[in-house]
Amino acid sequence: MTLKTGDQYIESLRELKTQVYMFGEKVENWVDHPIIRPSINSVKITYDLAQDPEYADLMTAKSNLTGETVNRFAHLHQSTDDLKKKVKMQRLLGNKTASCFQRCVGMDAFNAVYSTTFECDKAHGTNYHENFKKYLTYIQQNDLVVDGAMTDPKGDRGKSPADQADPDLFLHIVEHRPDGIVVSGSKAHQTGSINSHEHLIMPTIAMTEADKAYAVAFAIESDAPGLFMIYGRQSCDTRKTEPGADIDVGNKQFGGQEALVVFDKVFIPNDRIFLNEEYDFSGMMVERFAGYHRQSYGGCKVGVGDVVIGAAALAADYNGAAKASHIKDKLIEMTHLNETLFSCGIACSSEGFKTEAGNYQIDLLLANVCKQNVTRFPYEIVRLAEDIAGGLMVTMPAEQDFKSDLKVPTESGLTVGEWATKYFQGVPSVTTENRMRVLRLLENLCLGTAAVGYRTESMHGAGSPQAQRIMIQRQGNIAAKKELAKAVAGIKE
Amino acid sequence: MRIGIKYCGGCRAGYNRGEDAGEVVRLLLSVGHLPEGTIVEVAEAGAHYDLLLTVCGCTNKCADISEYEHREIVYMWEPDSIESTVAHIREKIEGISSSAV
Repeated sequence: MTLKTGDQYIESLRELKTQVYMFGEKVENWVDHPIIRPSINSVKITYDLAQDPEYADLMTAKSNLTGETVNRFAHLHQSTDDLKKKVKMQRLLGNKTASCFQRCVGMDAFNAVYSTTFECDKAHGTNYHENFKKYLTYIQQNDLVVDGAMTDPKGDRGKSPADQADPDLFLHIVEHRPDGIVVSGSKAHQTGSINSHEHLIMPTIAMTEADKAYAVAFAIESDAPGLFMIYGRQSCDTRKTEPGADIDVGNKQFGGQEALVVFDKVFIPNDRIFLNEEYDFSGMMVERFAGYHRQSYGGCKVGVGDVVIGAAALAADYNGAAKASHIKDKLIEMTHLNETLFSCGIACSSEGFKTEAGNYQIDLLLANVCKQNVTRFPYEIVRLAEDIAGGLMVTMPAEQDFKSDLKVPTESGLTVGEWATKYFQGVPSVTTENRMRVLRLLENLCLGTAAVGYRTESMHGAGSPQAQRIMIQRQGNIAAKKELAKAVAGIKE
Repeated sequence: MRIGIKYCGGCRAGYNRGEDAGEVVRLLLSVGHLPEGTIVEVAEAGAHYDLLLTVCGCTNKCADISEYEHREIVYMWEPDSIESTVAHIREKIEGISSSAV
């Protein structure tokens, strides 16, 4: 058994010397920083649930590399059943955290790099697959979190990597040495990067020979010399730093995280390199990682969606509006949309196939359809949630006002807290505080810190909508559909 | 007699599986439905169980039981099924006990 506990994970982060910057300053104790810690808690629960018999069936798997039980986030999918269990695990974790739990990018990178290195070795006689198997065995045996990092800043979108005014706008090789390579550049929007022990870097687009210095994949420790991170801020993030912050945070315990990860001439030893100028395999690695990650969203966003729907239904109860037919219909619509996303995640998993390397890949067309729906449905779900919740979710006084003992100099002699509590009571059977709590949770999910994960990440994470449409066009096989129509219509050409 | 409890992963559990399974065990123990010396435990891979109580969250009943040897199996997969599960387990136990005689 090679599973860490959640507490051991937290302690392992303290041993890292990861360089983190936020609000223009270096953060020395980032593990306990009030803005960062909720995101660490979201990763921690991926360890805690793996230890719990009630969840171990989804949270763990038997490694094909070691035969040991490992965390599913470090597993290579061995069947379509594994692919389905991945999606179910993600829904479960969305339910528990109502946040991005960040560990999926590593799992998706492992599976993409594993199969791509196998095929690259076959074509080029390289030894990347064996390198990667050794690396992943180390990750599994130590139950580590790895940021699968793909997205470069990309600078001028109209130009290729080699044609950028600043060559560092795509991460690239700056020096070849007998014992490895030196790289510079950065990866943007990196989910959970600070909370990761390691980074697994992949190229961001298909490359040509002119871009071969950018066709590079490798693994690196998060606290390696020359590597640092600049924290990405989120809407309403500083509420977490307010004294005694609880209700106004919306989700006090959990959160997501993104950062810019910068590489300033970082050395990568040979045994951690998995692509080194083989530009013809850059596109395969990108497409496979993106496919897995588009499948992922059919699980994680659905899990968060369950919480949004539950919170909206609670708000309706607390407002005394639950019996209204239009409220019931809106909850039905939200459920329909959410379960459609889950159906897509399960479908692309069920139709998965075995790669040449032996691990399983999702159905690419269905995964892209899944993600295309994810760019839309969560927006409609939060629109309906806001409709049901009412305007109070954005106009409510602060938590401090509800708790204030300050007497207002009027005839009644009530305090600010008493006035606020009196006028924001909903149904008499529910406390004003509980009404506040569910409305703040909805605010958090619809337009606060969690909206980063539930809304804009649904749009752009795992590729923006147009990227899926290109894949749907490629995979849609319109020519075969024309033949079907000809046959039915009796057209002979 | 050895009874193992195996849970599914819980992605769409429509009820609190842990609480309900605990209540099933409590009822079985409190009214003396189990033969003396019966062990009830969270199932361990590779172990043999006279009865495997498989606690699932939905009708899919997807718990992976491939690594759990068992003579009899009882599934629980929906809310408000504590009493029917206890009754089902009692039937199975009686069957096991009578065949042993």
